[in-house]
Amino acid sequence: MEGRRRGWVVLVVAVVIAVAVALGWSALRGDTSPGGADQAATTASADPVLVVGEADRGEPVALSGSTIQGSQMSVADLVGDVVVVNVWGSWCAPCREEAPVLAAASRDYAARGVSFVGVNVRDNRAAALAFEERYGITYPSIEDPDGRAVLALSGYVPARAVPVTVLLDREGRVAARVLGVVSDDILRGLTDDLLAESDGTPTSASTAVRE
Amino acid sequence: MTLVDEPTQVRPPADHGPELGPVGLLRWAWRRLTSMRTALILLALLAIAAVPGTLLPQRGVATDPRAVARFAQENPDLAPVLDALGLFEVFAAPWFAAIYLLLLVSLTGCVLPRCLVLWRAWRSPPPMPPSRLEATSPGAVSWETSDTADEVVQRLAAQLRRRRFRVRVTRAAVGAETGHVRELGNLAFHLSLLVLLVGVALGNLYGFEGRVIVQEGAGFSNTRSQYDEFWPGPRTDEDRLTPFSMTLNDLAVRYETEGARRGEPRDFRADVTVTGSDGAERDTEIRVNSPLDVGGTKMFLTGNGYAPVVTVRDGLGDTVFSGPVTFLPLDGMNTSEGVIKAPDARPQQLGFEGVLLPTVSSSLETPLVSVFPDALAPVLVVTAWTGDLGMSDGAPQSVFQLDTSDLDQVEVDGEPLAEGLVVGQTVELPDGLGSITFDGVTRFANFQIASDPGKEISLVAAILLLVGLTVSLTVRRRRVLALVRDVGGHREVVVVSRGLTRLGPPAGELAAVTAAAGRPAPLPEPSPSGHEEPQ
Amino acid sequence: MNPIQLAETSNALVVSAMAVYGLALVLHALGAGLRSRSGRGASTLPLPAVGASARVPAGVAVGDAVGGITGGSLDAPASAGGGAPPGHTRPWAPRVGRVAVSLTVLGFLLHLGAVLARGAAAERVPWGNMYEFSLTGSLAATGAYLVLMWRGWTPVRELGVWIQSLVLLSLGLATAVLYTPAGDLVPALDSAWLVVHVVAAVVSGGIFTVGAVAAVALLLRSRRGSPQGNSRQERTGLARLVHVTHLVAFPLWTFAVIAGAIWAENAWGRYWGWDPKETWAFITWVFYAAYLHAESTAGWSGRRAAWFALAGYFAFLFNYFGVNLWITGLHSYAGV
Repeated sequence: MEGRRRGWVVLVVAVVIAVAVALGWSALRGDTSPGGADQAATTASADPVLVVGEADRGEPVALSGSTIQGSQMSVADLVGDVVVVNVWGSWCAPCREEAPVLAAASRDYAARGVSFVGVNVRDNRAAALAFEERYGITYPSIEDPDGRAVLALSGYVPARAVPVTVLLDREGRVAARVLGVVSDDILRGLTDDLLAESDGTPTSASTAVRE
Repeated sequence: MTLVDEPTQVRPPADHGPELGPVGLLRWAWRRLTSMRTALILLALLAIAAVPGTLLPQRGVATDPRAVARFAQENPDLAPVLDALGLFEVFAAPWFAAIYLLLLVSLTGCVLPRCLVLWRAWRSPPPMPPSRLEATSPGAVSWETSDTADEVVQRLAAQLRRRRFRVRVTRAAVGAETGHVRELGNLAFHLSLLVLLVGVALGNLYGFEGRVIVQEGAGFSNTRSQYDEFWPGPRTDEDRLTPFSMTLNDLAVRYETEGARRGEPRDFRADVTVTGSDGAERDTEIRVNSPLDVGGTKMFLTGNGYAPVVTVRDGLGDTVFSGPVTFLPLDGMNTSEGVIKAPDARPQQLGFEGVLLPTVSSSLETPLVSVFPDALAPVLVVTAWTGDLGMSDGAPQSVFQLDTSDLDQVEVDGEPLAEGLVVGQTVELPDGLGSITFDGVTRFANFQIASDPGKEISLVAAILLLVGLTVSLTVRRRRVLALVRDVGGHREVVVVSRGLTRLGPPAGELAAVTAAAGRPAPLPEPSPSGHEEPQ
Repeated sequence: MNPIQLAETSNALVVSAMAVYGLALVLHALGAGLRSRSGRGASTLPLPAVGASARVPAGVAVGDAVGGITGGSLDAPASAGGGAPPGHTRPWAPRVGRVAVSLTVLGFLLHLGAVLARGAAAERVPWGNMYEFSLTGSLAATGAYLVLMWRGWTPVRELGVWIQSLVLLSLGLATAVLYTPAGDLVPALDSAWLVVHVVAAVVSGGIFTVGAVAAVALLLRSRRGSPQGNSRQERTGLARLVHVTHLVAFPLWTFAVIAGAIWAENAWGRYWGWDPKETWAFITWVFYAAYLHAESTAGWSGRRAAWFALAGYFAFLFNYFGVNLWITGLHSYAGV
């Protein structure tokens, strides 16, 4: 009789252990439930800002294509300037939030050796042009209906979301990346650091950025 | 879990007395867990536990992503309880995992000792007949012979070897055994389940699934931000997806045009140009059941629909939108709905809700309905809204829905504007708000993209499982024992065939072996018990 | 013949097969009734008609086991072979049984013709919608029954009534409720895997049907017992029949599930997604696996194991009717 009772105890313990193992297992599996159907994939990452130190930078970025204005352009032609590449779409609400920041910065830095380039993804030309007119954006945007430009860019730096802003140094190498909406402070801070770099003035990019 | 079809090998009763120490207790629990009865209960539990997963809507099961939310809306009291019990995610629920993990532990605990037993059995010689092997014992065949014992024994041994028995011969006796491969198959079957689990786990950890809608003329590149929906595993490297690009040149769709099945789809074909990571371009097609495979990442055509092409002009006469808009099909006749947003229209933002009817009947009766899924006579019905589309504050929103909370519906004579447009037709909005033109119809394709690095392992496991199972269910383990002896002046041969599995030796095997070894015909057929063919 | 004529021929053949099956059913029932009334030890005439002697050593005839499911009297299979006193036999009882089987063979041939004509009419394999699944599935069940008869599995004989009833029911449902005109496939089904996956599922379903009928018979027998005293042997025969049918059908079903998984990987990008159809296939598989394990567990073999087999068959049927007709899933395209 006693053995029987003890048997039940063991069985219960076994089941409890199994459930614990199973809980661990499902934690390992992670949450695979589907997310929302929004096209605008914004970042949930804790630190969307990535700064690449001068010594760690890779190859110069090759990015080219026809623009929504109808001409051809290549980022390689901009070597010598600091380049800000912004991936956007007129359908993307967060892009509207950052558009005034980019427009103002592109005007302010135009004379200081900084070029701005847009990559317009999954959009139609009329809507994209109307967007640019509304926000006063004057820099060119590469038309990217099939994601090839974004794919090329993500070959150099992870670019999981729209919008994403990538800064290239004067040699055309990826120096920084901001996932999601870029704020005025961060954009100008990163740009200033890159401009200062080529002046030979050492600055600490990361402290400037992460405050 | 012990092995299938071995009624002769039953574990001893596992219940010992009350004076067990902790070690004994563990051993007792282990025995109980690995007993066949526990395995049976766990199997039954597993089957029953899977049932609610088919009757209740499930998260992450592909058919309808909104099914759980809808169920919760319809059953507000019941849903939270079911959710807490994990009944909306049965196959990811801890209790479901507990059952199959216990089952696998039980199985392993049973199978591993069997491996050892099999290894020993394989290395040991076949057993020899007992000295008192009777002609009257069940399954025995006997005859008198004038041949020498050695001749008979050699003939029998040769016959048995030809039938792939392992044979052991002494001067006047033969012991032969075959069918160990049955046990091997059985082990392979059970161990393949563990391999399968590894394959599934690898796929879950490192694989991903995603979906994207691509309009004709547009394309897709395999990078995270291009996906409309993306479900990575916990260890998926989202930044290093296989790089490739695809342009959808054309989506060809064909429907049955005649008979009772008019309107049933017959063919979907996506003509695409693919650019691999090496930059080489190739033209190919993606069809249902015929996916694109680029370096292990597969792209499947899973659906399609219409993208009406519209042009929106604002109150200033500027074109603020011109291109195809994805409309989602609602029914078998491809009645589709979607929204058009023109947040940069001036003086006021414009939004449209549209319903596309691919083929309206010529009688143009109201209400308009689509009578055929192909776009033979499309009509786009639009209603219009003005105000703030809510896109400027940065919150992402669905491209398939119009948030009308801050919008005013455009009205004509006090009635909401609702205009049915044929291709080429324009409707002017009142009060100089702008206009919308229905330019034509193109299509879009739904693609499912998946990568599962564990699937080859799973496939190997499945093949192992099937082969092991078939072997373990068809091979019959059996022994043939023979004795030649002198009985009162004549020489007698006794041969016995013994099945070690439920089905017994194949019918006629003993008859054939003994006939070839010199038994005179006709055969006095012994009792058939244990043979396949009842008589 | 053009496709339309072929389709009409197929429909006519289905109706003819049903008529012949119906007649066979009546005779099966009559035969069973006669045998059960003629009592034990009565009918032991050899039955050479089904050709069992081809597989059994020469000189051994296949016995004519007797007794319907409702009857409860059966001769010991081993005692058959012409040894019983002929005076007690109603001479036409076994003859009725033989005619019933012959009619079943005829019905099977008509049925087979119907399936082939259907395939020819649609210019593809004749299993692309529920009407065709029912048509081929019931053909497989009849086929499995006849093969077992031919191999000399005596106990299957008395199940004729029940198997015939299920086949007729299935065909009736197919023509009355599920009928779909012959035509092309929807793109989702247009794959080489349709041939492999569906044929394995349909054939294993046919064998499972025979196994399930035998399991029911076994359970009924065990419950009633038999005053004549040889029920143990009957039970053994039935239990072996249940076992053997599942030994054949289970690997086939396993293959069907694996082939389905490979097809799913090729069509949807994942080999297993817990779609209702997949889940019920899994449930079916698990129950049948439990059955086979129970068969080799002391105290579970036979009667208790049979319950697992029936649970498996229920899951199989639910997967076919329930999931196709009531539950929405990725497999809901067959247009019923």
